[in-house]
Amino acid sequence: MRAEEFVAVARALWDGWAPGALAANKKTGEFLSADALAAVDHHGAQFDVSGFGTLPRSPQGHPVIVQAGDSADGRDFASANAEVIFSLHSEFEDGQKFFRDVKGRLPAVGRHPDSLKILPAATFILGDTEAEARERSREVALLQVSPQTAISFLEQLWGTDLGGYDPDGPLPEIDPVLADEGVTRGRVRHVADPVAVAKAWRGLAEAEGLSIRDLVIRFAAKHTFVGTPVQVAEQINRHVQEEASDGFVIVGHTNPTGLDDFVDRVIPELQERGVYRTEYEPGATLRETLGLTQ
Amino acid sequence: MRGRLDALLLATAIAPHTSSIGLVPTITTTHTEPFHVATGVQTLDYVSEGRAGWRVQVSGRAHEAAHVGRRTLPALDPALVVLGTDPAQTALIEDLFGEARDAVEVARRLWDSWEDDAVIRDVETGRFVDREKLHYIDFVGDRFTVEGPSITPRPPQGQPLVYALAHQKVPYELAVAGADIVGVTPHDDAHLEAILGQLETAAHDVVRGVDEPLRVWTEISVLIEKTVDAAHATLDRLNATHGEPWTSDTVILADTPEAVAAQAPALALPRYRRCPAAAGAAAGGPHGDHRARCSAAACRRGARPSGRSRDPSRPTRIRSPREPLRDPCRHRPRRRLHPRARPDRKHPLMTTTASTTAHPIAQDASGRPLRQVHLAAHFPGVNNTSVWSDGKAESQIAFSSFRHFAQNAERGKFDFLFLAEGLRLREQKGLIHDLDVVGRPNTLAILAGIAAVTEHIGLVGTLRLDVQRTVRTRQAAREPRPAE
Repeated sequence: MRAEEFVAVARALWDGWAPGALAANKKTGEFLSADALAAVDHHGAQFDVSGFGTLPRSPQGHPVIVQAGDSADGRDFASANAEVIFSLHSEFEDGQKFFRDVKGRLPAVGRHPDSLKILPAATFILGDTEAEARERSREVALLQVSPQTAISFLEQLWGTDLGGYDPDGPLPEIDPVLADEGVTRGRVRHVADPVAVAKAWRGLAEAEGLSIRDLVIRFAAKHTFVGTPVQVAEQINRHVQEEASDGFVIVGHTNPTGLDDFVDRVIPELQERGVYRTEYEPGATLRETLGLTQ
Repeated sequence: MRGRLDALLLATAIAPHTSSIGLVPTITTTHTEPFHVATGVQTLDYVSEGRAGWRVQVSGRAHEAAHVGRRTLPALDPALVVLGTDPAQTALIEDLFGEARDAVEVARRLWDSWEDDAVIRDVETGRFVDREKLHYIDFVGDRFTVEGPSITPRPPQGQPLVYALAHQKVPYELAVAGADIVGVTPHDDAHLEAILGQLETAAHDVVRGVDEPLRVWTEISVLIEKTVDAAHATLDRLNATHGEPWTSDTVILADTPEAVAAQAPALALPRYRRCPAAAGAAAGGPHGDHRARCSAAACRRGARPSGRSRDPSRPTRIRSPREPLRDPCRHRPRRRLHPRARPDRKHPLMTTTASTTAHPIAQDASGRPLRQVHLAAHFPGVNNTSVWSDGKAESQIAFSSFRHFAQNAERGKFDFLFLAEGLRLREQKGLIHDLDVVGRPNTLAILAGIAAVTEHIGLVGTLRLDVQRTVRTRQAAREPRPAE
């Protein structure tokens, strides 16, 4: 609701200056063209804004709206307002389902399917061979989930101090404590029944022989694409060709060099397949680069 | 003249293209959140590697208030304000400047809310940050409360410079309370004496919350030509074009460069220490002139620091020595230059046949064009799966990291880069979570800096414009709800 109104007011302000409003005519002394500015007079449930936009129309007119968030309301908001969705549906089948659902909402609001791009977040680990990539994935995951991080992750569900447990040992046999607000607030949220979730985790860990740290790696440091550059490029391309996404938001695992390998090794493979630009269009706006249809 | 770019963002975009000059954008305190202003100026300080300042301003105009829509202001009558005879006008000015004083205090506390060595990257204990060195600021005022700490680590200068232009008692008190430099506009020696007297009175009436003495700079407007006659002729021509004589709150010097250079320090009170290198440029009057700021009284005896007023239950922080921006008279050490790094146009990714158009779209077996892959890059700055313990991991906040990341993404022809945002540090067990990478810049400001070192890539950030506990609670009429 607030986001909806927020975007509407922003768009009204962006539209406040007509293209070419700045005349700056030295001969006539006219700086702004007559009627070039439209006043915004918005009075809504969330905001009151009356006056003129303070800036001339920007190169894109409307900057690109990107949305993240996955509730039913979020999907409705996205289909009405967003031009890019930063989604979490990076698994292939799940991605296809999300893609169909969101793109399927667009005709009802008078939008073309290509006017909204779906880009799930994706991590990657590369190797010269698949085995090497898997080994590297494990090494990186161990760096991402330190022993302390593993315990801290569990504490958010258990709601109590688990400092006495061995991160390389089995999950705690005790049940989560429900009352402690201060500890449950954090990354693992909206858990309706922590005791049941803990039981499920325990079951998974026992079935697969996972330690606390192994389990947390499974949840927090599972890498989306692990393989050779060719394999990763092919997986990405498959997602796009078979409409599980329009592409990805690539998340490197470290800063600021986490993207370097991807650029050096995966991008050329995508370019080789004719599915990725080799040059930017000169002077293209972001909207044009994304290929958003109006 | 209308349609100006946001001063903070513009200054941040200028920063990577300059190497020595200080950058002091004007930011109002009337319609902004102190938290966002503070992190924005901190971010400018990171991007400029220690050259950030903030010119504090209030916005008294009723139509500006209607535009922002968070409050209504009575019409401001500058003439009545100067006279000081209208209680309503005086109350309005006191309210606006009181808020500005609070905002400056909040910003200064936030800038100090991380100690310089808070990031420890201690692999043994798994801790990225020493949470004992992060401090809640717990500011409670009449207009807002801000809990802190900042989301941005302490910037290179520690405390970026605060500049306040002042013409009368209430703004003088703001300057004494919180500014490093006060800009004044004397028209002659007697006027300057009177202003300095008023500043001295202000220094007795309010507590100075800054360790260093207040510096007084005289603002002048200059128009220079090769001869004094030519300067006057140009001024006459501009006045005629404008339709009326140019007026300013400052002295207008239309003269030769030499004469201006000779007059300016004289005007700036000769009995005080002179600083020949003190002129900086700022946006000026109706003719697009330059308004130079000349350092005058370097140390005012009436404006001695009396220590920052802060909650004694909170640990005090030791400030690192200030960068020379804070003292224009001191010799400035040579700063490492960081010229704009040009994208490598000869990178092997590009075909040697130098096709400047987009690649030919490949087709599938049935002749249908293949769907094109779109890629964005997420800066892995702040989250719990960023590997910081690896030797190759660099700073999550230094501008060099953002530059490397952005230019590399552009080399890979990504559609856009994406920065997430959070406005508070994660807490667990009632304490700041210390295992993950924390400490991020103000999103809009850092994107402006990145824009200055990239050419093609789109720049996207999450802008959380809602109000959170860390940030503030202004006594707003409406219950704020999250917006992305």
